[in-house]
Amino acid sequence: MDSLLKVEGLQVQFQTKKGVNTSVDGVSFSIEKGEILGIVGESGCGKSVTSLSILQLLSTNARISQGSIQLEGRELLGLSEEELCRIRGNEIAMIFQDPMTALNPTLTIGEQIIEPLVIHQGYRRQDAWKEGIQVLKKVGIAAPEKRMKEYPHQLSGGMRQRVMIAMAVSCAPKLLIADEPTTALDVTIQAQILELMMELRQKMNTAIILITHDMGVVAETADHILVLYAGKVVEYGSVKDIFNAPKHPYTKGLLNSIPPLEEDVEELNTIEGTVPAPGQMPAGCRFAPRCPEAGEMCSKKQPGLYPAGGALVSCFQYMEQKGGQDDE
Amino acid sequence: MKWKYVLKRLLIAIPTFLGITVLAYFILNLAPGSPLDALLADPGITPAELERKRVALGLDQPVWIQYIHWLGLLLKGDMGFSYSTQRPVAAMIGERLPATAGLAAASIVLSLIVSIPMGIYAASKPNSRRDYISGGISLLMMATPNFFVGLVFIYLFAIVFQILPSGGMYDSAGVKSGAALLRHMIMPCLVLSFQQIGGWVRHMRSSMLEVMQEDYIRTARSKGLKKWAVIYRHGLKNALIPVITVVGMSIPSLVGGAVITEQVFGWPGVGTLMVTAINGRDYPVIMGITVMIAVAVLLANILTDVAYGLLDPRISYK
Repeated sequence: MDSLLKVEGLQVQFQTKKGVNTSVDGVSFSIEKGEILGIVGESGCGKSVTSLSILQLLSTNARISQGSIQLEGRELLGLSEEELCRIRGNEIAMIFQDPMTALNPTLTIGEQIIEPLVIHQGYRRQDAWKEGIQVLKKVGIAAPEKRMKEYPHQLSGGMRQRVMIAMAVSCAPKLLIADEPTTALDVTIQAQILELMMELRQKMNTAIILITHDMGVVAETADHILVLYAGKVVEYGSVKDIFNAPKHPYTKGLLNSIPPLEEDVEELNTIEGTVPAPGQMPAGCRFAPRCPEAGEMCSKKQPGLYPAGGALVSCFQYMEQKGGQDDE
Repeated sequence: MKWKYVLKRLLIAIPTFLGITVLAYFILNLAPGSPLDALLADPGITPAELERKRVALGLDQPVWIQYIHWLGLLLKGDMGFSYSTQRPVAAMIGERLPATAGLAAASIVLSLIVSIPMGIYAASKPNSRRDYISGGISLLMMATPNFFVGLVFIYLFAIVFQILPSGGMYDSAGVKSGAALLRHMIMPCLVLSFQQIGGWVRHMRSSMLEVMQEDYIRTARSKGLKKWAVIYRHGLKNALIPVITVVGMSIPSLVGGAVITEQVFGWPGVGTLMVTAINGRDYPVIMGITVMIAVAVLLANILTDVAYGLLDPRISYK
């Protein structure tokens, strides 16, 4: 049987004044029905670009130059804009990082929430309005009738993110892509929003791609993890495997930088350096300049993805275990 | 709520208005020349007669007394009499105002109808051929002086094709029909809108482009809205907000009389009246028109703010 979503060899290029930059390179993963996949990595590692590629919502200077994205065996790349519009918000929906800016300030909540219902489910306006109230109720918004007539600026940040989620799940999508859904929220609200997403998954069996840089969030919610670094897959496996035995030095670094709760620490652990800028990628392994375990080969040759203990790891340390696919 | 706000704004506008009249009155009196100059042209005039005239017009008084006298009359609704025609200034402006206001309104409506869709169209595909062509045309429109456009139009439509009258408001036969008015209005309205459209298209384009970068546009697309639905439902209202300011700012200059356009087409509006009054140092008429423009500026400002509130629910009136 086909996976719900299968992404293979995704490559995204950006046209800039200085030339073409490849911001996502050879990213592959798949997700099954009702599953949660966490995509993690630092800012600028290609998480958002990967997620926007699925619905082809990238900005106009970006181009998906290679790869394949299949929804239940159906190729999404190369679909016409009209066909994509039928998938967006209907089969695959998305929620974004900042609920303050992701809602239109000049339209009421109701006007915005009924749009997918009218477009995809053929609702008449009045019926869509009633359904909208139901959806708002489902995401735990009090007095939904009143909220429908209000504007986004009259709602708190947490409430706006609930509205975003309501809008995204109104057509019961098979896949929900959540691009850092809690980053812009207060800590107390973050937990509520995550809980709400978990609850909706249980009820509607929606698969979720959860993009975050918070390893804690992933540990609590996800089934699988895809670790990205500088636009490439660094490690890909189940949550259990990766949290119990992280293999790639970058994954180890990410996990190490979560401050321990039990003990007092003098200094927080960090990964030295920053993600290389697009267009200034090192020749070998992209993590090599920051890697504490880097050897001689690392700065010369790019590693492939090698299987190691149930996960896939892009590090030469695991190359000996045969069967890996080389990148070159 | 909204009316209370408008009332408050009107009250705040009063000191501004008084300030404008003070400045205008004193600057006017500093200008060289005097209303009596016209009389000097008559070789038979005696100094005694001239002096009598000066006293009669109150010009022998200090400027500030003249001003207070003028203001006192204005508050009673009396704008005084023209030095040259001896007719009431209010009546003179009243005759001319409908022509100017009608032309201004037509020009604003035309400019909006043309420039908003054109700006959106240009922004719908930035840096494409349609964008560059519309950009080139707008720039050309902005850079061409009104009088030149007017002369070219007269040459083309009145002389070469002979489909439109070259000037005036009604046919020379004197029949005042709506159709004749409309025919006479087409060219001045086009000329008056010409530069304006060029500018507004650019404003609309850049405002639209900026809005299309916003997160909520991406949200709208992620919901499955088609491209033009995204532009019209989610982009337009937000993009119009900054454009409103530009439109609001153009109202005063249009109402103050598009002097050049009125001159070129012999349009009997306030602009022509003002030029005549300034040449004749006809202080009461100049001050009357100044008052009218000041009121237009202040009202246009309030109107702009109210329009803001209608478009943007985040703005509240307190």
